[in-house]
Amino acid sequence: MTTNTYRLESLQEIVGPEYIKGDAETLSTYSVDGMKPWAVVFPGDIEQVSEVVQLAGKEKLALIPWGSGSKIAMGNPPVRVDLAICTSRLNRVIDMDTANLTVTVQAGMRFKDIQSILGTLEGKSMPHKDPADRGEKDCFIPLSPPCIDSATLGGIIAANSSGPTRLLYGLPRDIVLGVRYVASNGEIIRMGGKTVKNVSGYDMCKLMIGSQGSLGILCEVTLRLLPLPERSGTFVSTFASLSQASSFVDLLFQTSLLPASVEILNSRAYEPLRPDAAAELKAGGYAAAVALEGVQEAVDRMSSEIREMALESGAKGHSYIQEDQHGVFWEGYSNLVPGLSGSYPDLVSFKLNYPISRYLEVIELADSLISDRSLDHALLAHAGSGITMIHILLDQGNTSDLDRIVSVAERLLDRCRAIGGNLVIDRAKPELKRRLPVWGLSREDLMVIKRIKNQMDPLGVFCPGQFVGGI
Amino acid sequence: MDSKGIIDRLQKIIEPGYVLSSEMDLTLYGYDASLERGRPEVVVLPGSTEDVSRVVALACREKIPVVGRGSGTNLSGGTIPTEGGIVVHFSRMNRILDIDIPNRTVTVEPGVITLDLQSRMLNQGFLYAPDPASQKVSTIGGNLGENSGGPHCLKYGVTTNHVLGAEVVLYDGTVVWTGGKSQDHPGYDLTGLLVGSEGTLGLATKIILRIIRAPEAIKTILAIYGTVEDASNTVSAIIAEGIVPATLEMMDNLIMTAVEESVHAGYPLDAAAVLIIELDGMSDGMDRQAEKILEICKRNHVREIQLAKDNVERERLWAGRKGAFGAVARLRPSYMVCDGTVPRTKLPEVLSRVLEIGKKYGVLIGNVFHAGDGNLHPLILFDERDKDELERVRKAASEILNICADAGGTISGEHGIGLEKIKEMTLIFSEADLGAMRQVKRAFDPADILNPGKILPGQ
Repeated sequence: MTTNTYRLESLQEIVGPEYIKGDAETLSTYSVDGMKPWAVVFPGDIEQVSEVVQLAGKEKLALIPWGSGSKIAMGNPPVRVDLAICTSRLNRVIDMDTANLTVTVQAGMRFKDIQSILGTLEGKSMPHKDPADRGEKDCFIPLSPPCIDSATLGGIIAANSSGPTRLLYGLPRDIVLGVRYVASNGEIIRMGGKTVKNVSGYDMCKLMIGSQGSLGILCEVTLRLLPLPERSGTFVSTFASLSQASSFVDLLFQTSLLPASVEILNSRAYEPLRPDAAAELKAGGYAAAVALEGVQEAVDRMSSEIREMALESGAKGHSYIQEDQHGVFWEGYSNLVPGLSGSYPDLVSFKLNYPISRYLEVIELADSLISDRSLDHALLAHAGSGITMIHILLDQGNTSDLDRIVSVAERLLDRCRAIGGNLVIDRAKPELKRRLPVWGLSREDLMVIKRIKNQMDPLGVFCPGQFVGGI
Repeated sequence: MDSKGIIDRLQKIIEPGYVLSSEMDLTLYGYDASLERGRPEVVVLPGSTEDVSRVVALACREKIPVVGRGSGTNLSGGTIPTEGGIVVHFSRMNRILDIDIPNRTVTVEPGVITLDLQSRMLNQGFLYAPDPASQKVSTIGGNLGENSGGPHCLKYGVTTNHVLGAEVVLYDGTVVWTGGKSQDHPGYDLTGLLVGSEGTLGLATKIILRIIRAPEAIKTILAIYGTVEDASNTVSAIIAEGIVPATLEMMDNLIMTAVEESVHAGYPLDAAAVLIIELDGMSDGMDRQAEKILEICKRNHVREIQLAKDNVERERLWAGRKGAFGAVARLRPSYMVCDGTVPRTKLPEVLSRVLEIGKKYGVLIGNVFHAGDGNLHPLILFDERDKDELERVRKAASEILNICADAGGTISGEHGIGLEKIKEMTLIFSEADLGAMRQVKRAFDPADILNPGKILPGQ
């Protein structure tokens, strides 16, 4: 096609011919819900990103920003896909300022890589460090996102990705201090800075977090750091039933202890993480994993008091994962979905949100709806945050289960909505996505959201149709 | 604006007695805690969200500016009506609507006084963490508008980290909820945009705040220094050694002198500077952390250290810090407070340049500020009736902001841009950056009636 030849030539001039790919395999890898781009570009710096976006505006192309693609399954099937822009070459540290507890990195950098650099200021490795070697200056980014082996900072921020330690350390909105992104007209925009205290102008960083690439392509992020905790470990306990696990969790939340995370896992979620201990947990059983991070005395007290509470709640088994294996456990947790999707490529993932106190009712409903329909699922809940993730373990090529999954999703969405929450489809095949409201039900602020999208991306250059309200 | 006509129509919306237009009222509501002055055409005190919605809808139809007001303690002119119009004063909407401990939230009307909320929550063993120094007087709605900070923000974050959602009246009177009691709603973080928007994007009529369990233990330390440099070096050293206390506040001699006369907090009048360092959390290991801090102070030539023995002593230490801005009236009747924020390692250098600027313009400058997050508050003390001095003060303030921008910081840490710092916005934002913010403003308020003329420079 002549038009695409012109476009390809223009792109080659911007990024160089070796950094634009159009072979069948690449296009397949970079497809979104089965829709392939006609080329994938790999810009080398923010200026090249800007030029590509400008070209897209002129040529009315639909762009998909792409980090590692770990969250690409999120969202409505796109209305249109022309070009994927991959940030893999934007992978440098721009500014490392541990004395001021900030770091600025390019958005294509993998989270795992920056985390290990921060923890290796004196050449030691993270997260499996020998505590005796840890220097005082070592820091970390206080996030624990899923897909830790591949996720990039840009994608994490764009997807508002978080994990178990949100309980103690907060969310991306509490950690992102500044961003540089390319807007729909190609302009390079800088917002925020290096300081936590910053009320100059509108808080545009908050706008970019969770915007799923619909307003711009993140190219640089500045994040707040914390000093590494002196000690860490994880207390794991298993229970015969959800209600026992929940008694334990409720007891814990009545104290002034400050765990880093409190997770509830069903047996299918627990097995891959603790294959040796899996026998403890029969079907119907539940595990609770509590991460402890802080000064020695606090961690010691927490592990001992938490053990008491677990036993009081009828724990069948418990163990304490020491420092050196603590990181391994939580890495496994983060990689659970990539792992499960290896055995179950057609995995369907829901994320439910609801007021914190309603977690038991939500999980019980999910369990009964799913088992009534003879489906199998892994379930994880951030107990103190009002978030539950459900992964339906669907055998490949099985289409007969789709009706049943739709029915589960609809009932769960109804209940979450009724109590002030929502249900989002994080991952599903396009045919299933088309049968469900992928982003749950819209809220009354959608009108303002649409006006913002219209102002910032009037031509619909970024990910058209993928986000809430079909924007 | 056809004042009489509008006043009549407002009187049909608002309860009798709550539409103010006397000479005195219009003067009283034309100022805040900044040096700016304005004058509204009418002031209304709504009693409900519906009142606010109907007033704003009327204003939108008639193209009349609307300025929200809490207690008017704003320090940058954000609360000043510069284009006439209607001041919407939230003092009557001051109820705590819902305390929901199991869900860790409290829902309030915007006119609730921040300290009142904190006291109420502490009585139940819970904490609303942001503690701006104005908390005795300022309102939650005002805190939301400014994204207020305070000493405990070093550990707990600023107001925006504690606002989960809000009921908002938009430019045309439409009422929508953003956020909510549940976390992670998909879409854009409109709540995050509203906080710190200085009343230019919408008016919050109900606010959902996050509460946390009150810390089990608190230790408060007063560290006394012979030089400002030693005190600021201590600040960096504490962070560099992996300790993030709950607060790291600094005051210099000028401020302490003023404070002692008014509050008698027990500050030493011959010290160059003090630090107020507070630890909070689980009691285990806190003594050892405090020891580490003491060691660091000693390495930086601390002259003396006092540890608050009990809550009474702790309150006294804090009364001094929180009363600082008010106390300086004993020295000169007016002040201009700068609000620049710099990376904390740059503090010693920036502070010494601030002193030089004081000498250059022949103005008195005292420092009281959140050293832990590099948020300076040079208080330039003067008499605003002396127009020459006022002019020198404005120049000094502008130069201070320049230094902060040069040092890689920002021009406002917590007091907002308002009117006062509009001209400095171009120190830190390009035209493209400002353009992006204008797009957000247009999305929320295409009629430009909500607090017009604030934050963003004209194009």
